[in-house]
Amino acid sequence: MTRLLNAGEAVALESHTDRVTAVAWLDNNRLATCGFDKTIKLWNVAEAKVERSHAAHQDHVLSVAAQPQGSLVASGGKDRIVKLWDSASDDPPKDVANHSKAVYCVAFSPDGKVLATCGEDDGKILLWDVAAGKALKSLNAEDPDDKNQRRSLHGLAFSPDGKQLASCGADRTVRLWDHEKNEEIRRLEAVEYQLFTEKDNKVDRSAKKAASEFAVYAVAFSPDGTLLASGGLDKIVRIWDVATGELKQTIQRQSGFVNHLAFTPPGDRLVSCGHAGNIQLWNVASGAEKWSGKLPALVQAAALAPDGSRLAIACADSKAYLVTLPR
Amino acid sequence: MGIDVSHHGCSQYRRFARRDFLRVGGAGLFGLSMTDMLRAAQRPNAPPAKAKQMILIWLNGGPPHQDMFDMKPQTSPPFGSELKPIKTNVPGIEFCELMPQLAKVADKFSILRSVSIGTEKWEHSGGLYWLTGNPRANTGTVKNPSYGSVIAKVQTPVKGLPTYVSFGPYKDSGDLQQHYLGPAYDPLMFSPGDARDEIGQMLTPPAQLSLAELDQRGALLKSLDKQLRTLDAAEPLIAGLDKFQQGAFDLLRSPALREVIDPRRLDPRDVERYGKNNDGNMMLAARRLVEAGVPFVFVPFSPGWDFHGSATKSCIQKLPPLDAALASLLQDLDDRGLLETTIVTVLGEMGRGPIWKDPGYSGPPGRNHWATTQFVLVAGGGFKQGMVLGKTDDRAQYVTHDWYSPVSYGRTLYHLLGIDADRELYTTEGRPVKIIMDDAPLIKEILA
Repeated sequence: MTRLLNAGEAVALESHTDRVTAVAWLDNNRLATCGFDKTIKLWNVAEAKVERSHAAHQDHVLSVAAQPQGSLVASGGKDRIVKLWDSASDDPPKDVANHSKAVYCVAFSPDGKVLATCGEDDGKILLWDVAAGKALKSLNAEDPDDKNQRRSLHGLAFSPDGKQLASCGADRTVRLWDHEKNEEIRRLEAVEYQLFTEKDNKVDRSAKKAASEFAVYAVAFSPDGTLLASGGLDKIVRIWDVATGELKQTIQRQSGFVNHLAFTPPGDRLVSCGHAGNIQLWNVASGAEKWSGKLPALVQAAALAPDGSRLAIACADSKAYLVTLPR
Repeated sequence: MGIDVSHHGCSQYRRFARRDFLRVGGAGLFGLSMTDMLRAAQRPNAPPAKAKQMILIWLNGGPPHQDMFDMKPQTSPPFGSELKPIKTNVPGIEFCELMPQLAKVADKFSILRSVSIGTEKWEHSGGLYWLTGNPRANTGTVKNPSYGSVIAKVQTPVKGLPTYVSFGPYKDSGDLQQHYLGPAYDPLMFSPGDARDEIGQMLTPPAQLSLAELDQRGALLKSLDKQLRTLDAAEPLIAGLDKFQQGAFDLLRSPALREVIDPRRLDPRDVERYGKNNDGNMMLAARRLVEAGVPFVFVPFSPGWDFHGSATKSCIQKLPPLDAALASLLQDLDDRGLLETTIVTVLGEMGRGPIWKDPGYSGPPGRNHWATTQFVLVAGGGFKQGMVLGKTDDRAQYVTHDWYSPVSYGRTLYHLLGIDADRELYTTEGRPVKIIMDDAPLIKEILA
């Protein structure tokens, strides 16, 4: 049984009035949080104080990201809108994009110049020129051979050099993109799942390869960009070789589904967060669990501080928690 | 895509309950009276409760046990299945390949393969038996109340919440809506996510009736009155309902209930996980009601489990939505620490026979009614997890080990809920009747 973290180990940031859905670090002391209360808040973590709060969206805010090498924060909501605001200013957020449905994920490129967004039933990753506030292109993640597939995209991650973009979603795929060339580089495949149809009252099966048997919710690159971790509804964390697509490690978790993954610098450990509140630290090479703790709330999303020392976790109990990871 | 019931179900199945039903039962409104509470406090025979809440998922029509949870891979069709079993996360237990998500959470529930009515005469009316724990027939027997109505009668209500919620009527053969406790212990009935649902509209913003409008009461009275008048056979009982109307207003004005079922509060990712369909919406709403403290939720899964035709196609259509919604429900209740005290049970009124060409149906072969074997799924609330109880023969047609009746099933449910099944309740005419009238052993093997 994983140990429940006490109040000293999981420090609660309390200001939201409803479920906190996402968190993003601006630096090692400033954190952006968003939630069902339609707000985005900027925290001074050392003082556990809200420095700014914007009633940014018309509906639940579901995703947030902070611009590397900049001061912008992007957010996406159930209102289908992606917004950008300057964390150094009191100016209200600006609309930059519209999706067809809820926006599940927003992610900046490492140089902060490109914003990638995706969401519910969309099947497309939209890429935006942050400075110009203009659409650059869209990447089509729909499978024309599978008309019944789920089209929602849940997770995005840029490689550390910014050249590749990883995506994952309800269609069970993990895809690597060359976003500049608008090309899918490869799909990472580890399992086969069955498609069932009926013909003459007999079962007609066809097998399809995928990264997971069920929806994939999280992807993360290692700091050197050679590995990619993925996880989702099947509770399994998979670690892939980015260059070859080879599955390097499989970690079977026992608790609820995975909704966040991050490699800690220099990349020898991986932290996973599960919906049930379990946080686990894994040795990447061996797949062995190094540490685990349990939060007293359901986890919505998480973010690792740039120095890798602390994890911020968005939770369903209207709080964001800060957990210092063991060295 | 649901199945067109008119082409698959038999005539008995298609003849849904003739009468409409009371949509805002008194059950959820009051639960125990003060007198009842005083009586309850003095009950020495009530077993200690392991379960505080219960979700009953009803697969109406008779789901095919041999295609789902009692597969016989060594037996070819017509007795065996066109589908294949897959391994689950419990060594030695295998389920149908169309339920891969449930296979990953098989350690959170158990399957009873040896509970059945045991005789064919009941067919669809077996629903009355299963849902009351009493051999209640369409005519000539005591009109025993369903589990939800009994719970509404004997359990302490949660402030501002109904005690018994149903996401739709009981649609099998028989008049389950009529029972000796009277309409006061009927469920609050609404359909989550259905824009045409009157009660749902009253409860969920943007509400057709604002709280201020509800205070005027006219519209609600009209709606309630319309529903009451449809209870043609229950007219003698309706007069007694006046006293419940204040409670109905209070309930519909309850912020707690409105918040729980407000679809605007749903995360679309949760909706997606549950299957993004009507069945998933009901299961998600059931979870939210249990989280809020509602004691009993009846989930009538979308109809079409009467597979007279197109046995295989029906499985391909019906099993995946059940898989996604039920696996998500069980996982979510477990993640929230609620499964330990919440019974989740899934069943229909019977199992099914070998694949055959029913002369009454023009389509591909299906499976006929079969009440000597079926499956019942149980989870949480004091039930053992990750086990299979009982055994059927190689054709999945007769129980060979550990047979139990619906009476045992009912008694076991009440045992876990801390309700003395031998307790006498009073009919609306003042006659005492035991909650479960027949004796039968508890299914002890399945108790944790």
